[in-house]
Amino acid sequence: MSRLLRAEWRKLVTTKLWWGMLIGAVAFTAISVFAQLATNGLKRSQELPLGTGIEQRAILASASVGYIFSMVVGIIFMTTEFRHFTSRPTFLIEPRRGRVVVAKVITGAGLGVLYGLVCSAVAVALMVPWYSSKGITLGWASNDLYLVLLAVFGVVAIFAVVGVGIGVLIRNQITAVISALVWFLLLESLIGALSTLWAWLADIYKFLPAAAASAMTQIDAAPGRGGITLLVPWQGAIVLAAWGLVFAIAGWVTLTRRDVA
Amino acid sequence: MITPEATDPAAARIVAKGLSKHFGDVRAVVDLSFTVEPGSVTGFLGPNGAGKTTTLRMILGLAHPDSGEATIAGRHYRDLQDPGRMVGAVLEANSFHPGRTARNHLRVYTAAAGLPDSRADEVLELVGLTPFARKLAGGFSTGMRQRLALATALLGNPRILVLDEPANGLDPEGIVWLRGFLRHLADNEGRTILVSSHVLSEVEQTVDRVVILRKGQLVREGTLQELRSQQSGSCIVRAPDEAALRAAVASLPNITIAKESDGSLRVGGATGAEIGHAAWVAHVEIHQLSDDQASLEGVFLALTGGTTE
Repeated sequence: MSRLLRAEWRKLVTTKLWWGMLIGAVAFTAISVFAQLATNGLKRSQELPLGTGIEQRAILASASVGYIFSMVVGIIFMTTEFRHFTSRPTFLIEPRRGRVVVAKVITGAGLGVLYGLVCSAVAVALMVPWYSSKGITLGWASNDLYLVLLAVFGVVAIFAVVGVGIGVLIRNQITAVISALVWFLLLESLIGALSTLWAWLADIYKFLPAAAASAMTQIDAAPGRGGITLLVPWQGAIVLAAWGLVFAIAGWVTLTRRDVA
Repeated sequence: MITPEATDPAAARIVAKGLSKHFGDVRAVVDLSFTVEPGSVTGFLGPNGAGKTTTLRMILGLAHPDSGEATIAGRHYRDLQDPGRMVGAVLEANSFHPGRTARNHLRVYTAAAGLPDSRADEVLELVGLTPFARKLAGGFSTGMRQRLALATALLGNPRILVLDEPANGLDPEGIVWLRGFLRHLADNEGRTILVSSHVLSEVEQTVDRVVILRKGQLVREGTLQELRSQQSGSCIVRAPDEAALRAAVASLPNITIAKESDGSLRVGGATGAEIGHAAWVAHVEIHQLSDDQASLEGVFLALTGGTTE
C-alpha cells in the first residue's frame, strides 16, 4: 500500500491540478467571506455591526464554499486516470483495483486536509483584520467560532473524499463534474426548499450530503435552515464522510467488475 | 541496471484457453486458444477488428472474458506476484497525462512497482528519450509517445512484453528502429514478446512465430517457416517464346498460369524443379525461374479474408 500511496502522491504533485484548483478555492473563499463581511456591514445598524454571534458564525461558515473546489479536485484526480488512460499502466502494475481506489481515497483525503486548512486560513485572514479595524471583538470562544472554523475545515476536507468517490463511480470526467455541480448547486437546494412544505421530505433531506455539510457549520443546529431541523454537527460530519465512502465503495464494485478502457 | 531474475524459462509462457468475449451482438473473440512460447517473438496478426486488442486486454487482466481463461506462467494476471516486474505492456492509444513530464510519468510507476527511481532514467536512455525527459508528454510526436509507452513497459525489466500495434503511427525510420529494438530484446535478452499487427510485413522480419486471427477466431498458429510452406508454390518464369513455355508446362498436373504485367508468367501448383524439368524436356529456353517471395503476404491475406483494412 505504501508503494501505491507514493505513486498517487507523485501523480498529484506532478501536474498543475492541485495548485491550480487551490488558487480557485482561495479566490472563491475570499470573495464569499468578503461579500458577507461587506454586505452585513452595510445592512446592519451602526450600533451593532457584525457583532452578534450568529452573524459571526454565518460569515465564518461561508468559507465552506471552498468545498466546491475540493470536491472538483477530488473528481478530476480520480477521473483523469480514465480520461488519459493512465488507468492502464496503473492497473497493470496493481491489478487489485480496490487497493488503487483505497490509495486514491487516502491521497484525496490528504488533499482535502490541505484545501480545508487553506480555506479556513483565508477566512481567518479576512475576518480578523476586518473586525479589528471596526473595533469589534470576534467571539472565538464565546460564540463558538472555533467550532465553526473546525467545521469549515471538515466540510472542505471531507468533500475531497466525496469527489474521489464520485470520480470512481462516474468515470467520465465532464459528466462527473457537471453532475456533481448540478446536484450540489441546484438539485439539493431545490429538495431543501421543497422539504419546508413536506415534513417527510425534510426527514430525507437532512441526510443528503449538502444538508449534512450545512449541519456541520451551523453549530447551534436548533434553528436550522428555513425551519428545517438539520443533524447535529458531528452527525453531519459522519453522514458526509459516509456519502464519500458509499460513492467510493460503489465505484470500487463496478470498477472491479467492469473492463478498463 | 536490473537483470531479469533467473527463473524457470517456462515461467514466461502465455496460454489462452477457450477465450470468448462479446460486446453486445458482436462476438469479438470466439473460443480462442493459443500458446506463446517462452523466449520467442510471436506475431499476433489479423485485420483491424479481428479481436487482437480484446484478447491482449483479457491476457492482461484489463478485460474479463465471458468464458475461457488466459494465464501467464500458469497464473491469471491478477494473481501474479509483482506483475510490473513480470510483464510489460504497450496498449493502443496514449496512456499518459499530457501535463506530466516523461520522467515524472515514469517515476509514478517506479513508485507503484517499488522500483528504484534511477530506473526511470535508464529506460529513457534505452528508448532514446533522455533529451526529452523533462518535457511534457502532451507535446510529444507519435513516435516519441510510442517510445515513452515502450519505456513504461520496460520499467520493471519484465521477461514478457505484450505490445499492441507498436508500429502504428511510426514513420519508416521509427519502424526500423522498433524492429531492431524488439529483435535486440528477444535475441540478446531472451524475452518473450507478443506483438500484434494488422500488417504481416511490418513484423515479418521480427517474429519467429505467428498467431493469426480472423473474426475473433484462430486461423493459424505456428512458425513463420510453417506459414511460408503454406504458399501455393507459385513461381515466376520468363522465356523468350511464351507460347512454347505454356505448352511445355501444360503437361504438369493441377497448375495455374497467369501472365504478369512485366511479361513473365506466374505458374502456380508446381515447384521450380518441376517447371525447370518440363522446360528442359521440351527444349524451351528460359531466362528466369524463381520462387515468388512476395506471396507470404498473400497467404496472410487469404487466411484473414481479403484486405488488411
